[in-house]
Amino acid sequence: MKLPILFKHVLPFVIWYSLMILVTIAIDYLLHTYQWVHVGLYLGYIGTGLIILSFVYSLRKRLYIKQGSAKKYLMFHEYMAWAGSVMILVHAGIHFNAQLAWLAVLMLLINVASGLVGKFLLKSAGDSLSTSRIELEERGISKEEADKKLFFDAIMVDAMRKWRQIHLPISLMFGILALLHIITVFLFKV
Amino acid sequence: MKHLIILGIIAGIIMLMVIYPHTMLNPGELTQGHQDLSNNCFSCHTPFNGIENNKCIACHKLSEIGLNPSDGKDTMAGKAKILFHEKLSNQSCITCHTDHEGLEPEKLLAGFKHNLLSETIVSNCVSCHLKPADDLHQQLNTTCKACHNTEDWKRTVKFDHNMLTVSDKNNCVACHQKPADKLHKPLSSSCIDCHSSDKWTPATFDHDLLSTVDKNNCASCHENPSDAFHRSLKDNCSQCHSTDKWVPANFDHNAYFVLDSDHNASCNTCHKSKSYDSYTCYGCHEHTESNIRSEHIKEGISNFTNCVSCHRSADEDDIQSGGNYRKGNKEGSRNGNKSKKDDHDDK
Repeated sequence: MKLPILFKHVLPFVIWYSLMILVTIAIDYLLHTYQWVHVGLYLGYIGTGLIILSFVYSLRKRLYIKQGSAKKYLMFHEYMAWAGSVMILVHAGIHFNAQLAWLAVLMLLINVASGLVGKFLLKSAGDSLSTSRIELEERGISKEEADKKLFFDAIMVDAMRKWRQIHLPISLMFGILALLHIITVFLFKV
Repeated sequence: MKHLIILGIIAGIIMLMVIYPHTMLNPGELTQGHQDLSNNCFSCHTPFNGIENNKCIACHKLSEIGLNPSDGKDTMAGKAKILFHEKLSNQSCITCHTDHEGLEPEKLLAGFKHNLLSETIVSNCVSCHLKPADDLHQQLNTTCKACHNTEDWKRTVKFDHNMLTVSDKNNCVACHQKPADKLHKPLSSSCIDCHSSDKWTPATFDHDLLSTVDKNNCASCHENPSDAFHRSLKDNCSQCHSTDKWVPANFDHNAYFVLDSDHNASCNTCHKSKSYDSYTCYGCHEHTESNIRSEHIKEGISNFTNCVSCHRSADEDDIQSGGNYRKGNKEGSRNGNKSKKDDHDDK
């Protein structure tokens, strides 16, 4: 029995996203337990550095860099940005004060989600949809009938595609908010 | 169009930061006295240059720090708090003071370290701190440094009882509470009879400190051992054990049966059940019920169930009856008299 796309491909997405949150909580717990809370400040710098470094993929994608496998650059982007995000989240902690920093964290969380959609959902879901459509057509089902049967899967893939498209604009928003946060930290340094 | 939207969002966020800096940028509520400055960050912060002392001193004059604003009197009851701050004029105010409360408001002065102060001030603790009013501290004339250091008032105490007068030193309950457990409750002796002033444990308890009644009532402090042997006993512990040490005990098996070289066997050879109340002499090859019966019947002895009533010395020629030994007199055993301690085999 073929499972709907929602269930078949959502699990690894949920695992990776949950893992990011759990690793963050674990590191934060350790820092508080061993009185190393001040390390959180430096994780902000390191996390920002890793995320900036991950953008080397964008340079490869837009052919500013021509050497190397684009797929490897993409994997580098994914893992660096994921690790950087964990560090930024530890840096942020659960401190409900300056809302500018919280907006930046919110953008980061949305952005990781949209990135993971690209990594785990979109391609495999699109492939599943195409395979299902071919199978239905091979069984002699008309295109209209196949469209009806695959209606919800098609809507899901379309939603994912659109969700994936906001990855870059949200990245930009995150970058701007993070930059404003850094500027204000130095502006009001003590 | 996309660029315009992004620029609009950025402009919007910056406007929010300017109009509502308290909400957008504030790292924690300001202290009560500075609440009216919540949206006026630059009244304290100099852009990219921290917080300068002159901004603090503009409102908080060094000569007035420590004075009660309502009556102008010294908040430390004549102590030199003003002097304290004047001596620190070469320090940045924010070295010690953090006015945004953040997550841990109790740590607003966490930056303060005593090494910022001159040696004169550090040595004169009461110029800033009040001497504790409790009985312990009131009787001391030594400097605070003798027991405390500047890192932590409570956790690093190095109290030496020798600083106390002899009478105070021997009056432990003036500072310490007497333990309420069943051991300490009946004691009226001085603590130092068992404990030293260096450490509470180990203590050197002497049972002679107890009254005779308590001393003979071991179970009022000690639990009766739960093994089968001790459970079967009802006599006073001191019959076998001393108050110096629990082991070795001076239990005398010879009082019941002499374990000579022919009877140097493990306990369960004779005590088959886990109770030491009962025994059997048929646990080895030497004595069998049939040969013992025939031997005793031959001599006209019909009551031979409790062997030790006659053969307590383990010597077959040393016959005992009713607690009296009669060497070579096997007749005496016929009476069947047994000592009180031998009653157990007749159960």
